[in-house]
Amino acid sequence: MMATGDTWRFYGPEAILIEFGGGKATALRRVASACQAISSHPPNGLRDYVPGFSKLLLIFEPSLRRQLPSRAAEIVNTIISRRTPRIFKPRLHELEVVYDGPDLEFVCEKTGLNLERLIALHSRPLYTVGMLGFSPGFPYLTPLDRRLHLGRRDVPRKWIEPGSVAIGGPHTGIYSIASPGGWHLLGRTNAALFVPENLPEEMFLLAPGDKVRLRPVNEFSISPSASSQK
Amino acid sequence: MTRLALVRIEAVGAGLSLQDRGRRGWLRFGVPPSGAMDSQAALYANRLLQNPPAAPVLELYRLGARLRFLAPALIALAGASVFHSLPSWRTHRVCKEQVLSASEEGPGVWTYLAIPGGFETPTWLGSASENPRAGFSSHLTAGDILFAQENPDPHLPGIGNRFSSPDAYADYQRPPLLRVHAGPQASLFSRSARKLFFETEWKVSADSDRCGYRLDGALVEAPGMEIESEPVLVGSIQIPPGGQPLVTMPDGPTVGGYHKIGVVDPEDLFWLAQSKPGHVIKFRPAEEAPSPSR
Repeated sequence: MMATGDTWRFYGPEAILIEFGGGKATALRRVASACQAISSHPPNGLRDYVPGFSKLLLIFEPSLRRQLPSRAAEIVNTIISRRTPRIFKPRLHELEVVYDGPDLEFVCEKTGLNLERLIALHSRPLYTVGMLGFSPGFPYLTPLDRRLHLGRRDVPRKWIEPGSVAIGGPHTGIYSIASPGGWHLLGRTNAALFVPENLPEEMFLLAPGDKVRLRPVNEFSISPSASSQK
Repeated sequence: MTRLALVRIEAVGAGLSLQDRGRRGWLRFGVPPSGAMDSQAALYANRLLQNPPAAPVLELYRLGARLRFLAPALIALAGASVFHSLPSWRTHRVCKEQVLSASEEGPGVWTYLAIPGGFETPTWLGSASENPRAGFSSHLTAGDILFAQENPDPHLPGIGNRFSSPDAYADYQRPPLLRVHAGPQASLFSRSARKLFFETEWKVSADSDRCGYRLDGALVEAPGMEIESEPVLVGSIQIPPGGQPLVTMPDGPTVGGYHKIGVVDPEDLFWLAQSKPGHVIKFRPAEEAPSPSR
């Protein structure tokens, strides 16, 4: 059954965008269970899918285009109503973070927090990977403490080191590859979020729905591979 | 299977990469689909040689590439015609030591060169399509050799001068009005912003690439309200706060926080992809009129 506040719409003739209602935390959980439902019983003709915080994009094969208008409602209902096993337990990752980013001073000034408080607020939540994107393996972590919500930098940086831990708007994230970017840099982790040389199943450290704890350290313990646990 | 050194790259020109139909199943990790910019032309090149639709083809952007054949081969060309006396939309026989230079400016910007069975390439997450930003790249450079997976010069009866029927190929100089479906935030745009979008004669900006095409012609007023970043589909027409439309292309990011006024119909996206900077493109709401015959 569609819960109150759930909506869906066509996103072009070959895709559907579902938006889950029920508040942020609920929506996030329901996106995760819809993804579980898809991976255990993929709808016929589904080409790919992308979870967002409260949204789920379903992309179908072009050959389904003519049937989609009449089948969409049924497909959506099946996905969002399928019960997921209660034993579903997300993976937990503990990542070490050295808080020495170039924007600490700016963020302290903007938020009125001192450095110690800023680090405490940023490293306290048990974060959920709401979605991955921007770059391969880049996690959008939620919920970021409200006091740390800031707009992007006026001038984006041209080059940001992979592993940089940053905040932007209502999210915190970790740059997974060297790239430009407009978020405020608080620190860095030594965890490798994306290793294109690895086998596919070991290429990405994080998956949507995983839990992440950021642990402030003065310097990294030696092995970054020990940072991930079941 | 015979692995045969077939092509030596003498110059890469404005852009040269190996592409197939892209990767599927990795969008949720933030990996763009990639794949040929003009998937229809790439498909035609393969079809001319009875290849599987996903056989890796060579994609050329505009001019400057120079390819030396190290063995005789049957090739199929589709997309923009750039090789002297070797038009697109048909097969050609190429001799050993023959050099193909992309030097003739014609309609379109992407050219596809297929060989029987496809090029032999590494794959990343199930696709031969490069994505250098993601670290999936063979970094084609001058001096590199491209290998054939199969005998590149099969003696198939009748295939040596096969060509597409005239209605199969696209005249990139005369694009139709491209169909645009409502995007997730279409209703947040003002009536006048939507009207402006559909009335403007757009041109592809020079500041465009495999990730995204920027459009010149007008500035469309974005809705004031910010939205949370969300999944983005290829073909989405995003309106950043500055107002210059940005159309997501196959190597573009999988999520984003700009308002999407619409999404180009996947069947029409190749017209935009092949549009040269300066050529006019216009859009029409897909819901309003029946699909024009072409």
